[in-house]
Amino acid sequence: MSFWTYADRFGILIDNEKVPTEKKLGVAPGNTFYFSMAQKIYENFTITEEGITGDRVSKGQSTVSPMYENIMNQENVYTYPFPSDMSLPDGIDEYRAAGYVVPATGRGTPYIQLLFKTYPDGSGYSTNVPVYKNGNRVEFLGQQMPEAIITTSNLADGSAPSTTLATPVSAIQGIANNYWSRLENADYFQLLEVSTNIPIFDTEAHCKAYLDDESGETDEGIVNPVNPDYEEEYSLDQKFYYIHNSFTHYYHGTTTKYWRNYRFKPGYDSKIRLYRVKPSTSRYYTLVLIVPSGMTRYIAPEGDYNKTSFIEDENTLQTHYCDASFQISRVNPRDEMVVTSPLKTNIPIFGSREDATKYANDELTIEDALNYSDILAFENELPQPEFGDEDAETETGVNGQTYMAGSAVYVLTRSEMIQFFTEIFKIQDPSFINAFKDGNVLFGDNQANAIIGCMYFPFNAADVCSLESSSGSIWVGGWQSQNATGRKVNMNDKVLTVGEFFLSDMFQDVRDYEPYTHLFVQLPYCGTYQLSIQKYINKTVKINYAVDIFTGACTALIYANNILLDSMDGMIGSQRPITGRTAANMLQAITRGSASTIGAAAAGMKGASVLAGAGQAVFEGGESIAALGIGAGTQTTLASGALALSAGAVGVAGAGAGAVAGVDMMYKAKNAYADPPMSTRGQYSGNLAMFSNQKVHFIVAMRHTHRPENELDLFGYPSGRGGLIGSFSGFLRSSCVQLADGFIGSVQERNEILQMIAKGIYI
Amino acid sequence: MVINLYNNTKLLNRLERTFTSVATLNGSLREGCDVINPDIWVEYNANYLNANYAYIADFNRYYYFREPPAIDGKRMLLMLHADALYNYRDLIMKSECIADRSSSNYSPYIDDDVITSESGYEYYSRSLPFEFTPDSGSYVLICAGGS
Repeated sequence: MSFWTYADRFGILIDNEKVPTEKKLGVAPGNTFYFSMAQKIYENFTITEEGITGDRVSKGQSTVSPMYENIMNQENVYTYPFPSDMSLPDGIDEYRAAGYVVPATGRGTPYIQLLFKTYPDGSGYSTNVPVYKNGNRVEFLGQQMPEAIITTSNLADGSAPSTTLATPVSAIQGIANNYWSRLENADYFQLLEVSTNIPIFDTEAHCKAYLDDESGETDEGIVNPVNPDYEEEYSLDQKFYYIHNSFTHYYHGTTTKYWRNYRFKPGYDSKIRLYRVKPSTSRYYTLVLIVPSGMTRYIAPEGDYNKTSFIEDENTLQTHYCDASFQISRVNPRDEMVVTSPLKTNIPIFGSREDATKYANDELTIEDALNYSDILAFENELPQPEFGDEDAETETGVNGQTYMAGSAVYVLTRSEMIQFFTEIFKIQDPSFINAFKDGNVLFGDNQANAIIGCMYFPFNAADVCSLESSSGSIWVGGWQSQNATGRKVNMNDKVLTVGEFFLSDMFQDVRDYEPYTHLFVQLPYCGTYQLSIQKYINKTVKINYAVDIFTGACTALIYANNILLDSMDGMIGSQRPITGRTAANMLQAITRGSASTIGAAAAGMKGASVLAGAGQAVFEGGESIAALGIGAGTQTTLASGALALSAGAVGVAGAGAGAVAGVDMMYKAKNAYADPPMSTRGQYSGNLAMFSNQKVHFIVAMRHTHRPENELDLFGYPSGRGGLIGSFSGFLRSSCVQLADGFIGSVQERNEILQMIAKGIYI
Repeated sequence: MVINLYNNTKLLNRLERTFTSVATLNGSLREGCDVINPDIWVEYNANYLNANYAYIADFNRYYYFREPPAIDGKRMLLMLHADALYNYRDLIMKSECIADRSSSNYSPYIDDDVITSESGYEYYSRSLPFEFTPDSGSYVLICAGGS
């Protein structure tokens, strides 16, 4: 994992490679976790059980300064970040961050946050910048920074602190001046709140326990639980800005190369930009990087070059974090040879700071950047569609029909259903028969046809329907039940929310896609399907079921980031045969469904025999009822039918248990297959689906693959990118090279060059 | 002609070279050679055997030893080949190309022949939280009429 810190307006991603793997990163009270966003303080830091010490890469400073210790002696000292929405003084349109985090002693929030700010000419500090705590504006402290130091006795539990200002202002000013002296080249800076997922403990004992526990399960005493919002943000594969920069010097027959790779993760609403400066005393450009708030960065030296850091006197004019400087071209001091220092970046470069600011303020667009064409080339961005309206998510409709007249739909529980049929089949009661016939004279001799259908759904029907608030009597045609009740359905207007998850990539390369990795979905009552994994990877996958309670049909709606990409049809309602016609229809449906079944799921079901028994029982019962006709049967036959129905219900339950074992066996059996990775099948029909999986399962089938660890350095990755050869570094193989003008060698030499590059060279 | 002998420790498929000077000496071109593949007679010196690289100012080119030196009594024959990659490195750096493979500008999402697939699959299954309940569902009754 990468450790990250997050600030309200600025952040930095600590290079994971810098964290020794044998140690965890932990900080105990009394020790120091020193963190600076204004300088590359922890370019190379070490972690010990006593805390963290760092090797400063520039403008050295002791780990613990006297002023710092003064602050340490102030127990429970807190300051508060400037609110993100505060208004900035005239002429100030951005801030830079600097600061450190110190665990406090004793109970309470384990770190101190100091707030600094100053202004471009360094002539003074603001005296009217509001400081807030708990949403309330705090009284201004003084004419010089820091703006506010607040002493309180209790902030750990989030209770309101006192508003007493700390007295040792001079000590704080000392620290501020210390910072100021080291950051004097900065136009202005401001320290802001920093949050971190680096664990911070309430006691040193807890910290040591954490460090000593190799299992990573010891977390007692952590006082800064990870903010899930931040974790989610950082786990998403956001677009990275990057700078690939290399420096090559050729003179005196020696070659030195420096290489740097920066990656930046943008904040929520910020823009990263560069502007170009050509100092009057210099023969080369400097690019000044402006990192807005909410930005993270890591630096990843790569390759086998002999140095991986800037040489301060040659390559950097300033060493401030925010002012990373890059040479893009120069002539060496002796004018002997042109030095090529290619710069690759997708960060827009502007000709002046003013233009960069306009870009930040949306007065200019990225198309106004000096390197816009290069950005397009680097990114190979897809053109944005210019048709239709922007649509961030698929909006599905709802069934707005109301079932108020003509027919009525009722939702019944099992006991209500038994009650209903008990009442319906009171055929020994002539008064009932007459009442039922009178109420359904429209149906002639087939009064039972007034019962249009009866279906069973394996979920609470209220999840897909709006129901009457309470149960009422049931109307069959013009006949009203005396005892049986059910809840009337007003509308079939809801979709069943099945759930969602984030399908993250595993390799972060081509192996996450077909043909290396396949994605399948097992949709209860719809079947098993292969999905195109490229549509869903690195997206939130959501599934809803739309169910038609009239027909029992369902559609599984599969979304990726709220865009509906796939839908599969199925049959989720199983008909209960009330009449001979419905029984025949049901049998026909099952026959069709069985014929379409490939058998991957059904074959492993131990409940198959139970299923057969259950199905037979249901049919027998149904046929018995059908054979009777209303008022034409005998009590004995009716009892047989009811018994059969009951047996059928038991059989269903037993078969369901068997199905679980069957599915489990199926999963194990899959490992024996090489190709194809899974069988797919269409929808189930009738009761069959009830014996299959009852949860939506996603199955990822991944080929066993191998990508050599040294491939990138040794052989590169597939590229397809164009540009000057000098803009590449490391291995390069190209079969398409156009030598620049000015080649004075022979044809043989030209061919040799092209052949060598076609085979691969190292730059 | 004057020949500068070096020891180069970098492989020839790199654009850079690391030289250590071995000697500067005079030599004579064997007849029938060209500037790309010159054979140079020089006076025998065992130290020259430490060299694998040369620069000939008259030809304005760097050379690598295409074969080990041949020794003929008091003479050595240096068989050289012009190092085109290094001689034109600056021009090469300024030349346009479309990269097939690269260590710096690449996409890990392009299909790559280097990746090998072994037989068989690994399976990972993940379920969504909602579970249908066949044993405790709902009956839906549809009737004509109603109120």
